[in-house]
Amino acid sequence: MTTHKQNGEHGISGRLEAAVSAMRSIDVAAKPDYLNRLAPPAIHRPVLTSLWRSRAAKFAGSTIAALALVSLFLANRGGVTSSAFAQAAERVKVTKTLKALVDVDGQRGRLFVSGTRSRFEGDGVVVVADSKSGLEVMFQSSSKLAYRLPRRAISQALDFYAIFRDLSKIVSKPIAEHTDAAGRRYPGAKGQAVVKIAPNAEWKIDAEVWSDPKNGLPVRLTFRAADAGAVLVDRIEFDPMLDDSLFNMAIPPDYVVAGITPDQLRAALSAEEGARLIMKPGVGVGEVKFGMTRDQIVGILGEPEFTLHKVYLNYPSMGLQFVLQGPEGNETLGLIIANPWDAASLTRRDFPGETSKGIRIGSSVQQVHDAYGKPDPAHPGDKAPPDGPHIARYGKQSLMFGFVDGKVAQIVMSR
Amino acid sequence: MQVQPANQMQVVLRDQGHLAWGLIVRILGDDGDDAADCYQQSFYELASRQARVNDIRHAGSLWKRIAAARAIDTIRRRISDRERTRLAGDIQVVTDPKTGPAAQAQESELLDAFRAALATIPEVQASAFLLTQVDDLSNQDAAQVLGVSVNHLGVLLHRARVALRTRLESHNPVKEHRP
Repeated sequence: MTTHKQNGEHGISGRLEAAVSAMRSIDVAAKPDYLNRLAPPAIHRPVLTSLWRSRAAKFAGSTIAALALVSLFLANRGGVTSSAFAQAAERVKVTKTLKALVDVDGQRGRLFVSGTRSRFEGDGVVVVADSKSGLEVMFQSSSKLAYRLPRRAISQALDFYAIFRDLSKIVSKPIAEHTDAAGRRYPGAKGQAVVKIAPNAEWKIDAEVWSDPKNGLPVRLTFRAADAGAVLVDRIEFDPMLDDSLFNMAIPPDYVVAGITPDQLRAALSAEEGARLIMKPGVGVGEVKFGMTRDQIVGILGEPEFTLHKVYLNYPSMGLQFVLQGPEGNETLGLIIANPWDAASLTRRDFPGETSKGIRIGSSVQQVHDAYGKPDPAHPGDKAPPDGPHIARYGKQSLMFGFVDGKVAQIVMSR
Repeated sequence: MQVQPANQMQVVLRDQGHLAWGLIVRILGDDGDDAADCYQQSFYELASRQARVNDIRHAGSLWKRIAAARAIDTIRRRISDRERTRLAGDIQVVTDPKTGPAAQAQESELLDAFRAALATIPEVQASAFLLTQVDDLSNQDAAQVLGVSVNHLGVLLHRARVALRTRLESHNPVKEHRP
């Protein structure tokens, strides 16, 4: 290898090595102190999930659907008379409460159900819902934030005990029995079924169920659906004593309510106003430019409809979120998100504007490729289910598109 | 007791932050606002991924990988800004390293050229090269966070070296635009 020469001339093979050596020897001073106080983005998450796939709701919804499947299995197990099927189903129907441990792709939690009310406790998250009222509240303990989740097509607020309605035939066959920690043994079976979990939503599920031979009630089940991943519901107990306080939806005094309710949304922009919201990579959206301060943004758009952590400026009525970045006290606009999907932003309108190349919410994957070319290679961790959301990055333009069901569902620009 | 995700990230921030910072500063060549932005942006991206996969085992290496990619994006933007400035009539003065200033400035020129070259090769090659050659990440760790096999990492490194050597040989020594 050519050595580095004192007079500055580098051999061809030596230039790269000299450059690497020079870069390695750069003295690095300590980073500014404010960078030691970064908080993980409890709110900001430029990662796509469908509205009803937000983590806690998906988790709990999967669990509820799994328990609904139990009814189908009980009603259709081969070799048992129809009267026995009906009796087994009736046994479940007359129970009024249940509790269980759940595990969704390694994320664990506890589920409590009492009539139409349910409570799901996950990792730092608690979701309380009532299918009768349609109300649903999520509490995030790490940030002391509470979210009033809007009424959704599929939510945790499913009336579990009302799901025993349409019984479909499923094919089932015996599998190895399950033995619990106390040594009790439970026979099992597996099968497939189509579970209707909402008026317009069905899941095709592969399931395994183990039941208590004494009372015919399920004690453990696993299922896998295309949209829900692998779910384990274990230690199911029917009719435990559950305190009413578990289902209290009152916001604790030390919590802050994040986001807004639908009635608080401002009037939608006119077509003309929406058309002025052009997203230009590296520049900004409309009159709002990267590098602007909060005051400058407010001077253009007015006060945010809500602000989180002082740096997330939210305008859900126009589907926009602005993220300020930089030294504390001197933050400037560094990130623009059209159609943010964090929990606080579930109540919002779609972004009415478009990019400078005509891509808007609802544009197709092909339209994006035609406008911006082939996206950058995917990063590790960008994997998505075949029919799920995926992300297309255009690093050179500091631009990212998120897709759901083949349509643009989010646009992110960074400076 | 299982550590809550938010606490896990605080541990990563405390224990790995200076390593990610060092890599960013070396790639960018300064520790100003751009470096701070890269640091924050890469940390947030890491936290978002960790929240999805809940696997903290390679957090430090993954942070470096993300940081390297964001830093390269910044270099591209700087070069693009410089191009826009030049097109607008702002003449950039370049120096001939053979007859110009002392070795220290020549090293600066070389580093500028190196950064510019990194910005022109595929990001995965640039990241592979930076992680293993500038940051001393092991091939196994680098392959892990890049999502490739160790064998393919070798291919990426080879391609990066060939491309970078070619570009350094023929580079037009135009400075990056520094705000």
